[in-house]
Amino acid sequence: MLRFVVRRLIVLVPIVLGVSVLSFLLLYLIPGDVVDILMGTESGDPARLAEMRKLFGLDQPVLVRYATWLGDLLHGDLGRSFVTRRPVTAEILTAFPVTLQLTVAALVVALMVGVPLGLLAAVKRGSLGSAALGGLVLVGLSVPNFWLGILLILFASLYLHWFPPQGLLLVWQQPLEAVKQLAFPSLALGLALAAMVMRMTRTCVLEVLAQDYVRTARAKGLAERGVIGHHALRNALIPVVTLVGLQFGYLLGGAIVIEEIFSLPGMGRLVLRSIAQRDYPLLQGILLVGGTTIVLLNLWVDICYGLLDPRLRR
Amino acid sequence: MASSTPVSVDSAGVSGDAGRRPALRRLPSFIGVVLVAALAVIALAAPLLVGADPLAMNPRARFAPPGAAHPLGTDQFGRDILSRVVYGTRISLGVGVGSVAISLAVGLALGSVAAMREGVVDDVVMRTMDVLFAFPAILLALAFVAVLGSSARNVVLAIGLVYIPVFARTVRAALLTVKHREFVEATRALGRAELSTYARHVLPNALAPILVQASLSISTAVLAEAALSFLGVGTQPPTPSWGGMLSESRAFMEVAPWTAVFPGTAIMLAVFSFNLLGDGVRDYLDPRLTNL
Repeated sequence: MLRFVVRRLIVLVPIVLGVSVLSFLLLYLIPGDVVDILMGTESGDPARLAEMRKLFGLDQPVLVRYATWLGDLLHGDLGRSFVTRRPVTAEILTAFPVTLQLTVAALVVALMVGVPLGLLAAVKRGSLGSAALGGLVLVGLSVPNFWLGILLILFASLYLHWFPPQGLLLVWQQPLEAVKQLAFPSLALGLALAAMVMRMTRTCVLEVLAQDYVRTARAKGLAERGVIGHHALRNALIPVVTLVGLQFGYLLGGAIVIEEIFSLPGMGRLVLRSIAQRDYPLLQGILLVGGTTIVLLNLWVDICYGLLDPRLRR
Repeated sequence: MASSTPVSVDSAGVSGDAGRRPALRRLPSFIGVVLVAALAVIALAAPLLVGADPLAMNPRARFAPPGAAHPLGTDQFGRDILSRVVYGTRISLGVGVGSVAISLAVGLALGSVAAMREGVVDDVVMRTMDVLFAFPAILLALAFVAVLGSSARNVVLAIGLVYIPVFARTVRAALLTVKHREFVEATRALGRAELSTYARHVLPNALAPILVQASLSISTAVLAEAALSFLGVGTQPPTPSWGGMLSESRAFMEVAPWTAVFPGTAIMLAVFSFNLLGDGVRDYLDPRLTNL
């Protein structure tokens, strides 16, 4: 197992480096440079511009600048925001927990809705109810999460006369308020994944139910509930959990839109702010953190899967 | 793709009831074909289908509810929502098909080089794809559009770039499966050139999963365009786009809910249609996947 983990870590290094290169080089695609952006229309005096370029290290070759940036990065320094002048690391550390709790809440919604319905669709295979659940999956996959979010807000304000609490609320600080705030956003974000989980659970349970050991369990007189609960569902959940882990990136992307709709102060709002204000160091930092998070999460899923299925360790 | 949308992952199973009659099994695919054809007709014949100019403002008809004069109502500028939804089909389908064409073309080239060359070339190409794959798709697309500038053309480019790894991986996997089969080895033994073997024997036999991926990816691209326009970095106003219309509706949805309901329904229907079509293409080209 250790060799498997070490091998995966070695593969990871060039990918993380690649993520850092892409995040860094993105700034070079912008017409002009950082000084042009900061000075805007004031950029008149060439001597002052040259001085500023020197100050930002823009007179250095790209490789030197990347090495400096990477060196700072290893010390936890992602530079400073053009707009707030706060360290990018501090900005991200404030916003990241909000996004993290939203994505985890959406994962919980996806599993709580998707697994029971998927199991039901498998057990009732061939029935009208199963076909209806199949249709529900296609609809779930087709509803844009931002539209669902808007409809939920509309429903809450027009019919329930209820508005979720606003501001920075973290589950580990104000659990009740945070749960109230996350209820609709997590539903909007988690529904499409719930449809996927449902489809995957159905497929996997059907596969497991066709196995010889399930027939043996039935033959020795085990009750159907025991067959489904102890054998079918337990084995079918391994690929489902893997799927959910690998879709974390989709949820992180979706969180950008959902946070904007529900005014949650997470990474999504931060990225939109960085784009609107052309705050490129901030955008660079968000890209780096977003990419690295996904890479590390994929590693974690790989390791979990390796633990569960020894054949994959080879 | 860690960051892909759910549509592209394991779409098998919905039509997977092996016991159903063939005609009944093909019904969802047929509906998908009809709906996509209808969307294409709407996009192409938009001026013939709706009389009202989608950009024409009418301050006297602001927030008119759905009725005889305006079947889907009007927005905050008195613009006809039906007309804007119909013209919005052009943007959604254009971006969807255009970005998938870019992803497919570049992914086909990169995946083919990786599969046919193998070794170091394969490693370099696929590790580069892994890097692109690492980012949440919408985040990377946002970053590309932020750098390139907001316009429909740049949205096509950004979405196209983001989904290249999906196609590069699919193409590589499909080609590697075919490349080592006996009939391909036989053509090599006969002395046929590598390029000719690829073009005449390997690629044609590996097309099924690539076409399935392409058809399923259009719905993903339609959703991505709507999301980018919704966030204000996609198609710019006053050009009618479904995501942009939804974004504008947020300020007025309590007084005029129809401004939010109809563009959202259009996005959902378009994505639903392409999902059904994608499932149909998969069932037709690769029936083994149907009963997974």
